[in-house]
Amino acid sequence: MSVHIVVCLKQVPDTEAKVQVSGGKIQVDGGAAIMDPYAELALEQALQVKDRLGATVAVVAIGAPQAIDVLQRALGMGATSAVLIEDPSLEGSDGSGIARALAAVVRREEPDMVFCGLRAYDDQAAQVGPYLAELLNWPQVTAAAWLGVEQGATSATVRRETEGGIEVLEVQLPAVLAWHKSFEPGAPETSLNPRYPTLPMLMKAKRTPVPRLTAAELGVEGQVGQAAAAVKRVDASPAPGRPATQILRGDPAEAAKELARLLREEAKVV
Amino acid sequence: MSVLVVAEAQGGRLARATREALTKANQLGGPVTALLAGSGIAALLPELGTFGADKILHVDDERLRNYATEAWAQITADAINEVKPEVVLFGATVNGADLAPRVAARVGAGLASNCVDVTVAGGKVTAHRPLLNGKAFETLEVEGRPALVSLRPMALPAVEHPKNPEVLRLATDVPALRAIVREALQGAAGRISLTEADVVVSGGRGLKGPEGFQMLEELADLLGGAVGASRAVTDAKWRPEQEQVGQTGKTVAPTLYLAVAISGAIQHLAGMSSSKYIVAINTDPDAPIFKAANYGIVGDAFKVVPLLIEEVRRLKEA
Repeated sequence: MSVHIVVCLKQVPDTEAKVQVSGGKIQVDGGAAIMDPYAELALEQALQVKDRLGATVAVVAIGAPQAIDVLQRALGMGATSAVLIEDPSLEGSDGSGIARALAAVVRREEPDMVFCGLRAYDDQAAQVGPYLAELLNWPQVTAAAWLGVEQGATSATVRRETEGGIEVLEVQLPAVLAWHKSFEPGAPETSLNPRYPTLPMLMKAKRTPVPRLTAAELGVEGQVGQAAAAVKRVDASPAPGRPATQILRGDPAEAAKELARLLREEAKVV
Repeated sequence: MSVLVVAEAQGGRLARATREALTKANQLGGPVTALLAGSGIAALLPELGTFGADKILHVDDERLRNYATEAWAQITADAINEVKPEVVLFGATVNGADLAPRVAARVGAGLASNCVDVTVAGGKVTAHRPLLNGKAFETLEVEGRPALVSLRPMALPAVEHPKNPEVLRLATDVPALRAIVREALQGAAGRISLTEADVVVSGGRGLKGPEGFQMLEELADLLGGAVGASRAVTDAKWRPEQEQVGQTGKTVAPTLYLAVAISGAIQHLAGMSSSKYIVAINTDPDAPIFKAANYGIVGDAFKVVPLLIEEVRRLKEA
């Protein structure tokens, strides 16, 4: 039985897109939505396991119909199956609602591991991985950076990065891994960028219908969406402006002297 | 408004985020209970009192030598059951972010995570946090009790508020752990941790090689800070991975972030844009970093930094 991995993906606004806030509403302008960068790291790690061990990789996303783009991209990168949870009743879900919907998919898929990004670019909440692990009653490793796993193994080795350094853990499978960085399986010091989809695979992915699931089909009605959420947005505001940049003039000696003065008198770090 | 603060130790003392959470807990009114688990942690208990804990619940067990999700989740759930707080505060540190959602799921509570502030007014708990790498902010209300909130390190002040807390052992158990630390490869000892530092002196590709960082280390030492690096630098292996600041590196929010020969790509800004003062030194006047900076010097880092070091030394000795 080959290793089976479920990867939770998310579609987020382009990180370079401009953001405007007025009347408590956030508007993101310009740029196509993208696969969340941390989720993409998680997907790349799953595809590394597929390359090495012939694992199957199922990707899942929750969203509006256009979220299908990230699923198709994932299929183009080599994911073996995809499903979209598409249901307006999921809108306004907090971390708990999102995790419950994903848990329902995971239970259907019966994977050895679930991968997700440590956090998502848009809300940085970093809740889904641990919440999902608790709902499934599985062990978790967050801030994962490297994975060592073998065919038929009942545990995996994971490196995680904390403020203090690197921890090497042995985790029993099945487990949830929330990825922060991505290192090569054979070279734990070498960082690995996510692969590009190949054109033929992407074309094929766009022709392949992606199954959709509703809250009812997942059995999570009443557990998702605004009504079930314990955490709700009540306001939004623009970023506080930083004062205009002051360029310090003069030759290097003069500029350095002025900077030292500012570090002492303004920043108070000298 | 009774508050439980889930404390964390880093580098042999209380994590900055814990001192900040205790300070906020006192502002919310209290009583404030601090929970601290670990192995050989007795020396850290007085500091909890210094920063305002009215009561301390502690767990000291050899099996808690390293952070373990399942152990801490059980301990925290048991503490919540015992204290029945209205609000539970975590630091949004790596381990805090690992723990808080698991606890939220276990006890069926709402969690507002990665917040820069929390307020209680008219019985409502609201929290404020950045979105989209700080391009917008949202205010969240957490319904239900307890309300869980995790606070971004260095977003809030840490102020001493000395008390003489009651210290009690928490009645709990350490479950069988399914994720176990086999090896802990510590970061460079002696130097202050990047995420706890008041000052970060950070270098980019423009420094042309690892030797370019010697002057940054000297400046960091003078200012009592840490050295950071852009992804290009860590990918080129001029500096260790753990020093990378940015979207796939560390997020820092020091009082001073000095960006030396760093162009300021979006992914880098994501890791430091919340710094109180940002200073940029770069030869390219169009480098995006200047837009994010409070102060900038357009010039050669190899000329400016040594002169800055001299000036800082002169001011300190005066």
